Amino acid sequence: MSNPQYVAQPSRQGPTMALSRPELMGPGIGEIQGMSAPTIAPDIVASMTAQVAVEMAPGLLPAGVDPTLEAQAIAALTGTWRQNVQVTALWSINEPRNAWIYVANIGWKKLFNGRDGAFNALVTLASQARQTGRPISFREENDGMVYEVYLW
Amino acid sequence: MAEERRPNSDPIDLGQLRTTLEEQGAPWQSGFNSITALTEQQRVTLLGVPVEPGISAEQIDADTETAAALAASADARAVGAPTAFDLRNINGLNYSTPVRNQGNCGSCVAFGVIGTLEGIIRYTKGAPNYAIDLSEAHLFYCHGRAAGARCNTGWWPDQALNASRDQGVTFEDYYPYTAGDQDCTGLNADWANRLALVTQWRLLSSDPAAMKEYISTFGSITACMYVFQDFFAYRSGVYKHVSGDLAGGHCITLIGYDDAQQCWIGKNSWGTGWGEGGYFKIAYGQCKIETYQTCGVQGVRLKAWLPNQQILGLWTNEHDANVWAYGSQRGWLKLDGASVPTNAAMLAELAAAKAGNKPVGLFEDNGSIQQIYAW
Repeated sequence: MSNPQYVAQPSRQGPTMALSRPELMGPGIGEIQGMSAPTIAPDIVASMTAQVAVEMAPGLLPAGVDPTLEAQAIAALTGTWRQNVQVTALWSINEPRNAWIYVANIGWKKLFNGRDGAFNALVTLASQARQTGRPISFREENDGMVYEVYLW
Repeated sequence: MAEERRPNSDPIDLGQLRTTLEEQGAPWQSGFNSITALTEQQRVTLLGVPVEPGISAEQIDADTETAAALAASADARAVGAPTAFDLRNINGLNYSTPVRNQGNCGSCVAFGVIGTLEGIIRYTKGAPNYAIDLSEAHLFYCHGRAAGARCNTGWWPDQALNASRDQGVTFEDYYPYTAGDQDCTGLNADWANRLALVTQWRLLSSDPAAMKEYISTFGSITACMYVFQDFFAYRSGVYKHVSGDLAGGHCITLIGYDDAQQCWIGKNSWGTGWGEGGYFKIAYGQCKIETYQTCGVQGVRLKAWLPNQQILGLWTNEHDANVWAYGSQRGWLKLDGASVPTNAAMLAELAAAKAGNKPVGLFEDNGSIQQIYAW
């Protein structure tokens, strides 16, 4: 697809080297590590394959765009919402989809862990919120997890 | 297609018109303007909707009272619409694109339709500052020409909307408009990648309640009206025919209505030197504006690069590959959701651009971001 707006075109060629892996073993290791099959709990598999009934879209607007529409959007929100709060700390551990954020004046909140894609996107927004100091608005459900995030 | 049109009579006397208006309680104000400065032949050339054969000014005026009563009784609230709407002032924001000038060509249908599409794009996307400017030249000199439309014959909005739905209309910079018949050779060869497509449209003729519903829901509609000579001299107020002969048929964009004033609010394509900065108000029932041919569009799909967008917001929820970005001039757009890794890559690039307060270029197709440049 041509694009007259842009002159610079990124190369379509990626790295040419074949995928490599370390060849040397550590001292005392007699067999190749890392070849075992991953184990995934049944509930995680179920959540990964579950069909999404209704895919929502954002309703809020950035500050100052249209105060009236913004007020209407806020009035239409469902669930427990926290508006314009700061993420001041992050925590994760070597367990599947287990990451938490610390929200100033509120405390630790676990990010939704039902699906890989959604989990990664929530982690990305929360991490950037902490890095840049930008506020977020988020929705918390009855299980205590964060299901929805606006990063402003 | 109609036969070549001719002026119906001598130019109207502006002094006499002013006197007539005063005698009728000054329902609207007239004056010398950029259109009255033209010759009557040039004025009639502006009117590019074929006139019903044999129709007379008396017949048009005879329907006015009934049509006005029907429009007035079409309670906007019954269809969930407000009692007044003006695309130029929605909570203090102006969603209307600038008034254009069709010049010496009966291409008003292209302007009336594209004015509608532009208003719908801005309003339905919640982006009053979105720099959308579609090509009337593409619509009239390419699609219209293929259907037999010329500057001296005019066209119909329904045909223009079918072309806008089936083939689409490119942006102004891919085929800038100049008045005068052309053979479409000015169209940029890449036009298919810079396109607005109507998703759906329907006829609203003789249904003023639906007209109000469409205007207040989508932002604007396309309408045709018969033009009498006094309309050329319109300056402000709520227009109704008071003097002058029938000059022809015309296409405009309706961007609002007001039940209290009993009028529609129109956007014309005669430049800002005519009317109220190019806009006008016309009383319900006048000039067959509800019945001639009225069309409502239910959505416009865009396919184009959006340069220099600041990412003002990012959003996601519990669904996989459901990430949206708010572009400064465009509003919310969904990142391509075909696969989770693609979605994650796009999110990473946009998040980095947002963190660095750097602009991005986005390729949009039907509300979805398909490609990103982060400089």
